[in-house]
Amino acid sequence: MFTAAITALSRILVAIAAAGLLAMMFLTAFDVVMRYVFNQPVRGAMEVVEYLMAIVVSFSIAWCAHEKAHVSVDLFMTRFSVKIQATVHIFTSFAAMLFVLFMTWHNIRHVTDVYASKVTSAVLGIPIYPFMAMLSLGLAGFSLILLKHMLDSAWEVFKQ
Amino acid sequence: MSPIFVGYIGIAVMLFLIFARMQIGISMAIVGFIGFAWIVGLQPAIGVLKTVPYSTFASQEMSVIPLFIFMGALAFASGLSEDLYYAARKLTGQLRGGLAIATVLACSFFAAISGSSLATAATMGRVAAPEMKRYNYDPAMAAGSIAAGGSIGILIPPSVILILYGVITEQSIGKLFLAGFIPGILEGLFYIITIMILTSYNPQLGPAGPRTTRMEKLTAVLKTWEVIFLFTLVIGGIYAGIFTPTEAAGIGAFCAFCMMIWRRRMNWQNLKGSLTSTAQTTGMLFIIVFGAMVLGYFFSVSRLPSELASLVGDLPVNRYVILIFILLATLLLGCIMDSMAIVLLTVPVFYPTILELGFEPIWFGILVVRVTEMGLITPPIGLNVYVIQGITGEKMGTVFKGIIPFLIADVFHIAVLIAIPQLTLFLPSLF
Repeated sequence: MFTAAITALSRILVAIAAAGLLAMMFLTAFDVVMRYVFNQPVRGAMEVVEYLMAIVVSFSIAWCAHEKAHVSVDLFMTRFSVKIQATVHIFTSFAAMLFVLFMTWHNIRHVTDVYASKVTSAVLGIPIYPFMAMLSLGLAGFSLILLKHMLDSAWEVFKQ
Repeated sequence: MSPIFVGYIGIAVMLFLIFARMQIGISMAIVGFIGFAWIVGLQPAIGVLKTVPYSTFASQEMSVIPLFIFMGALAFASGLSEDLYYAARKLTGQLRGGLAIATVLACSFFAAISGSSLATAATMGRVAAPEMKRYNYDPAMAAGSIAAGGSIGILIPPSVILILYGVITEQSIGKLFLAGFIPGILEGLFYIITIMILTSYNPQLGPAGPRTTRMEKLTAVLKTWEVIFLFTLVIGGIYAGIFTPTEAAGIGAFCAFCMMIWRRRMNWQNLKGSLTSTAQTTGMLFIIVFGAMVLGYFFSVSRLPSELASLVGDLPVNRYVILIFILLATLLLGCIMDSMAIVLLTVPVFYPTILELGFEPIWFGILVVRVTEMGLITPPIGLNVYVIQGITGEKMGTVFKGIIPFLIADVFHIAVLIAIPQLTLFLPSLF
């Protein structure tokens, strides 16, 4: 149940990231063509790319965690028994999860500050806070996935 | 406790976390955060956590990374890598060891549209390994040439690691790309010479394949025009001053996208695969970049890198001795870690030392990246080796056996790059 929910969440996040990536590609290419061929750059293209990056990167990080593709070093841990590996993994993923949760919490607080101060982008006047909120959402997703990894390892230890 | 001592403890704790298999990016961020909080205070450290993720991710300059990765993923899904390999095979197949030479050639060209070594090795491995098996190549030779060829990926532009090196050291990405060019080609040549020497001693390693006519060669080469076009557009555009690297990446990805349609490879499966693999790599890279940024705050307040620089600078030894020590340390890390993580981890520490010793930053960038790539194929682990082993199904020992001659070539290559800095610095000096 929890696993299925996490998988569904990761798929939604990566779908949004993928859409953002495509949009970023088309926008950058379109901007270049407009600038050099028609001498008419797209207004505010740069800020939109920045906003898109916020979404693409934050959601990609969660997806990457779901796919267990974040880089880690296997060399030493693989020398121990499966049980020890899983036990250590409970601790490392717990610490990682706590840290990411802490970061999520402070980013949410930061979003409320930015919301109150009504900061917008320079050219198009698009408010910045929704994109910061997306970052918090991506981080929250990341911490849930880390929680899942921790529970998986706990189950592994319990089974043995 | 003095800040610099906190810095040393930080490094020790970080290595401990990394060896306990915590994700490298998160380990760097945790240690960076706690260390910064220890020296400067909790509130400023929380401030770093609030602002750094957004400013690192929501950056137009950094959009060059996902866009170049996407371009490579699309080129792979469009089957450009296969065309490259078949063209190279037509060119060199009739030579002894010709298929292995073709692998190195195709890798070099694929590197020109892809920014990652692992991707190049994996892509070429899938095409080249079955062919070499069919022509009775020695399995070790086959695996070695793919693994080594893959490591060319990083020097020939566009290169994700060189972009990151440029970002952290504030060097021009365009100049770094140019600087990698000749060393990258030279690396390919060294590998080809290695294959030729090996097969001339023992022709059984790589029997000659069937002859092809000049016409066949020409048609096969002309079929790869898309790669040449893409490379010329992207890299030519940057140097002609038409595009910034970001714009070039956007245009390049867009053209690769159009080529996929044009080559009738556009379907849901291929598009989805390219998008999700790009997201995966992007996520993997940016979490490490984020960790490196936070760690950077900690390192700068601990003054560890600058203290180290003045300490090392005062040592009564030749500066090249120190350089070689730094490169050896990098190589050791390269055996256990991803090259990008190493660059982001070690460059902030060693960079002030390099400047203090009066070395050229761009030259050092190429060297350090080159050495981490050597680490990718060095026993006992080497990430490329795992990839190749997964594709070819050979034993780990066989793959490593095949790699040894290429490692020797690597040592010569790096020695040449150190001895003749002009090889690296000549092209950037023209612009």
